[in-house]
Amino acid sequence: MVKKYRVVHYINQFYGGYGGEDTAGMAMLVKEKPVGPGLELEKMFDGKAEIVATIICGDNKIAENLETMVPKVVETVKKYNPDLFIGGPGFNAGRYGMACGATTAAVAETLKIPAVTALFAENPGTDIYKDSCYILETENNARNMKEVLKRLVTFSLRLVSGEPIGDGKKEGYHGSGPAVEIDYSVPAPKRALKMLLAKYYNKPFRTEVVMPNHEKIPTPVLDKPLSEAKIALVTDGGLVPKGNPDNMVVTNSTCFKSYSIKGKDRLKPEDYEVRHQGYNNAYVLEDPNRLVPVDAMRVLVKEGFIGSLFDSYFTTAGVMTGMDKCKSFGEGIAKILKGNGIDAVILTST
Amino acid sequence: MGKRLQIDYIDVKKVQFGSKSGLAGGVLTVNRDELYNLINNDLFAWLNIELVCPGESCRMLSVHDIMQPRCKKEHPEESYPGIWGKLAPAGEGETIALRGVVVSDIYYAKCNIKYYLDVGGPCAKYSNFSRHYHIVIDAAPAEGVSDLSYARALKYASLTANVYLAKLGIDLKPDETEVFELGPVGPGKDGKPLPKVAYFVTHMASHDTWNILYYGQSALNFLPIIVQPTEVLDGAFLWRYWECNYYLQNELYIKELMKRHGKDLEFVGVVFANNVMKIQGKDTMGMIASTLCRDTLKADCVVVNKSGMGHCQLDSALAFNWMEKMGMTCVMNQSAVSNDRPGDMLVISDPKIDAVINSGRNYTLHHPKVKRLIGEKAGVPSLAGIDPWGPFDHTTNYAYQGIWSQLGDCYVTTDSNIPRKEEV
Repeated sequence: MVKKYRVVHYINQFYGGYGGEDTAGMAMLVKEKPVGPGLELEKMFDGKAEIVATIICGDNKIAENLETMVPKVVETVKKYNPDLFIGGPGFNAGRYGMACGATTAAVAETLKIPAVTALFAENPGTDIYKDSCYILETENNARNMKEVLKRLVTFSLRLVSGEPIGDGKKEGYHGSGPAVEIDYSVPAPKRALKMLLAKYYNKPFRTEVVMPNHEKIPTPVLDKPLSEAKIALVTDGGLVPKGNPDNMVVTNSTCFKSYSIKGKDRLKPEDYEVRHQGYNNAYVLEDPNRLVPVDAMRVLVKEGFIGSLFDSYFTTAGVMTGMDKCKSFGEGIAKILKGNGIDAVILTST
Repeated sequence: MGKRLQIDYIDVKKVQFGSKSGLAGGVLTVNRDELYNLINNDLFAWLNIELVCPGESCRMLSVHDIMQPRCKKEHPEESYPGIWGKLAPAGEGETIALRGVVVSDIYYAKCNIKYYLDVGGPCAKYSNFSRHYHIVIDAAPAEGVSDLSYARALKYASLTANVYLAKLGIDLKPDETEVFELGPVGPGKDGKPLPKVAYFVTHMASHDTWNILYYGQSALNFLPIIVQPTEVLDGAFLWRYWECNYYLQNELYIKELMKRHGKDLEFVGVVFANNVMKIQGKDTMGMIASTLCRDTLKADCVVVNKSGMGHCQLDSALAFNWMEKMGMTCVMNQSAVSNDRPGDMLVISDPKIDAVINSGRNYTLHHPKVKRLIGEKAGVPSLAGIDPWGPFDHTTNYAYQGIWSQLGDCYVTTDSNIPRKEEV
């Protein structure tokens, strides 16, 4: 008889049949059988796998206590000695998505077994966990539950069989997936030549760096004529006032700052310096307007081509700064801009 | 037949200052005054020669270059030809290398990338350079000296010290000898020709103090070029920016490819290209390099590597795509592009780049207070606002020297043949 893969499935109180918002504080419990979407999952596995346990937990209970609850889930999963863990799918449900992402990532990282969930791109759980585990792409609602379950089943079976998984764009998962285990005790050239020869002879190989499937950011459309628009200048080229008053670092940025340009027709070279280690900044030091074009913008305001220029510019050094940090800077800057009624931004990069 | 280069390694187990320079029984003695007089330069405001011992509670700041002392055995005056020594073809004959000691330059001119390194304490194990004794050239520019003149003077002083030390080993019996030579190659075990593998690297020569010297000639704006692999190992090609030339002297991809030549592959040659800033230039560099690999070197496969930072990742990706499009199988080496926390720096997201080695990753290290600082006034930009004596926490990428090299070294394996000294 062919061995059936053992699966542990995580779902919330709603899919567990315990009610909706009123029971979101429900404590974790385990049923040693498929429950809710698990019934369909097991059917689709078609005898290749069985759900040996379903972990059910209230959305509030877990989302408000990730630090204590996620290890409990992992502990429970471990008890059943499974071959595979499936979370959700959580679609666009925020707290459920966090729970699916957190548990799937924790199981993948600590138990080192195949684990997968499925979420919508804008689910907060997607962004946080997409580089720690496989999160298949879904739409923003559960309408296509059946199709998502089918994809989870197909993907899971490939995972447990050890088949190489391609990048997120090709395979339909967010981000770059779980961290690739790299054996640094073997020198890089030996690993590289092994990979090269496998590729040359059409044998299976596994890249150590999965190309990330970045989320698509839709381009916003200006909702008024440019001549009425209030515009702000943002740069990742590290321009700061002389003396670097906020101790901005030149790499691995820790913050963004804004500095006033009120009443300035142009930026004078003697008033500025560059805190950025990634480019030859001689041209910017010679004329800071090349990076933060205050001079040209003032002319455009005068000509009536644009409405107005915001009184401060925003700056950070975009060199060797992690994606998550850059994203938080971007969100922080966007929040301030929104609060000040800014319509459009010129972002200069180096 | 290619050139034959023999490197004779002499293990140095202890370094000390003394009244007479010499090397015997693994103990290197350096007459500090003699060396000072030999390498001092009017362009320096001051010069200190320091000795840093492995395991010592010492943090070295603004370490701009680290090199292994080496010289040509028969003609030491031809070491680092064109750059320091008399012009002669490098990468052939015999070269003496002292193993376990390095010459390290502290850099005072403006440079946005300055590395630091703990030679003792809990962070030492994250650097291959904490295994070595360091003869430190700590010299600041005199007033009015341009950054370029200072950079030249410092490199010359450092190479003078380098050859001075290496010459002490000329008459000694080597502890190990390596021979690099590309001989004729027969078919593989299956009777078919071995795959012909070229090695392609994007380096970076963008302005006078971020430059490369090839036999002393500035490589600013250079176009893709074929170089001899043993020339690279033998000091004909040196970086003059913030990467340590130790990693070129011991270029691990070249060494591995030469070792594998005739076994499971045929190593057909090395192509270098320059990192340029504009996209059309990048794409063109990649295409020319690809043409050299396929049509001049007749390569079936290419190992794509780079020095430089994010820009060069993009250059590598463009070249990789050209090479694959032109029918060659490629693998790419990148450092610090994993998705391990606290986060590496992958700037490309092209699914066609399907075979990548990540040769080192980022860590957050806790640096304790140390008893000794080298280069305190040299200023490490990434440590702005931090007391360099410690304690402080910092991420290692492009900050901590010796955790990985751009070319594929990793602290776990590089120099693991040099035993670590216990804390002294």
